Amino acid sequence: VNAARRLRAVLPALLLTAGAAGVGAPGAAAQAVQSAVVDMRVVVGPPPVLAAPTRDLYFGLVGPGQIIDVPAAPPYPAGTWSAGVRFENLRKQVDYSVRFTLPTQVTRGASSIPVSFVGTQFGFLCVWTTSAATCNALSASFSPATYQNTSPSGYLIDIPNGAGSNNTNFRADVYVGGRLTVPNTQLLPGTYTAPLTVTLAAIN
Amino acid sequence: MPMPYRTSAARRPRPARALLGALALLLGLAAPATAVTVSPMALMIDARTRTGTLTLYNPGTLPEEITISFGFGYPKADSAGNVGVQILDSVPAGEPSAVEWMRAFPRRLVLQPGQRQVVRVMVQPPADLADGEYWSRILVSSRGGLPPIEQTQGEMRLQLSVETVLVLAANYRKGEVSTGVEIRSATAARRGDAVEGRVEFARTGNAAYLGTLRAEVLDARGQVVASTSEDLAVYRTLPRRVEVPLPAGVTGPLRLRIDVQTERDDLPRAAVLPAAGVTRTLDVAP
Repeated sequence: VNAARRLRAVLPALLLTAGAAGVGAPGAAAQAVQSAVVDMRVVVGPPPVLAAPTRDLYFGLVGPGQIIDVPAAPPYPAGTWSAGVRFENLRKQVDYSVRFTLPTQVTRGASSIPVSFVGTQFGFLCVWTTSAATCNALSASFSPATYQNTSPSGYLIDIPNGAGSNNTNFRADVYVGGRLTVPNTQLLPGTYTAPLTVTLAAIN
Repeated sequence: MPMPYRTSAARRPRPARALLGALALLLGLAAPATAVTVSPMALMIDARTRTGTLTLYNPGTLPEEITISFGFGYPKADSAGNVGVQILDSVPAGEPSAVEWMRAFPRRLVLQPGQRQVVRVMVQPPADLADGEYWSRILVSSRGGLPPIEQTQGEMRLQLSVETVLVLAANYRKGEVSTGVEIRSATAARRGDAVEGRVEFARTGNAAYLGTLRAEVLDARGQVVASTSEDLAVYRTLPRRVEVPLPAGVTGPLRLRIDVQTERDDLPRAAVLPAAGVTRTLDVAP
């Protein structure tokens, strides 16, 4: 899809007789051959990058005083699973930087439950071409807390050269787990919320 | 011993749900219900039109809330040589920022499933702006219409909703702009079944260098035995690591040829400033 294609169209030659044009020696069938070459260059741009949250972080059963770890990749403790975001149409020759805006707590008014993302068990990257189950292009674990928007570095997606051709559509699934530390006190009833943002920047 | 909070019937966690979650990861996630595509990934806006356009599209099955904003940043390397684009809240002094002059129309929108929307990015620079290139990044933030999973624990619920942000380059050019690149230093070494090159680039002129880096491994006869190419963006200086996997059986003294040209197939021709190519050939340390 990124290839530049050259299309060459040669216009049919035109044969004109001098007699028909009313010029030239009488009776002579002089011929003039004319041709034209049209050079067209069609550049097909890369397909647009797609971003899609695929699921939210799910901590399952919560009890006072509990510490609940949800890893980025299976096996998950019962009733939990990690957050997932998919990016599609990534290109091999482009590097991408992934960063996170991570909450420190889920809150309801003045009440809060701390949540953290420190540890390589809480981040997982799977880059694939044919099946997400294979991670055939790249897979790696990372600590999301290291790559926050305020950190000096983002997590670099550098698709290996051997992973496919330049025209391959690479997909990257980013999974984020976390640790919930529930206070050993009575919690206020209601909804505790926090956003989790995954940012992808092409290094261009 | 504390008892777990009771859960609602609608969102009751069960082992089966965990199993399904694991299965989704193992077998690949289903097609996203909420999604947005953005193109192009870089806008080069000139002083003649002072306008650029983005196209957003929602291929999902649910509405998508989109917000367009701007920030400052460009590819930089940290002390370990890792390259990234950090979006800064405030623009450092002396940086050629265009953030303050850029506006998006519309700035907020809801994309219905299957809907396509053109977003115009307009630049309103000061009248006495000096010639040159000015940098910005567009942040396309999206939040799906799908309500976040609510984990109901009796009367306590937990929500961690996921949002995505795509960051695109948006540069504004006024008057005479030029670019070029120099190789300040370069090394090459064999790392197992690959050759690793480390090159430090420095930009010349007054505009970012956008081009392509091609790395070729040459054998003792000068024949190319492996190669790779990558996009290259040098805004000021940039250390860059490039790895070229070798085919099996390649031995002997090798050389690495680095070739940099202003050719990009992902940008309109007018967006790429022409510059002389740069080539450097290095001995590969065994």
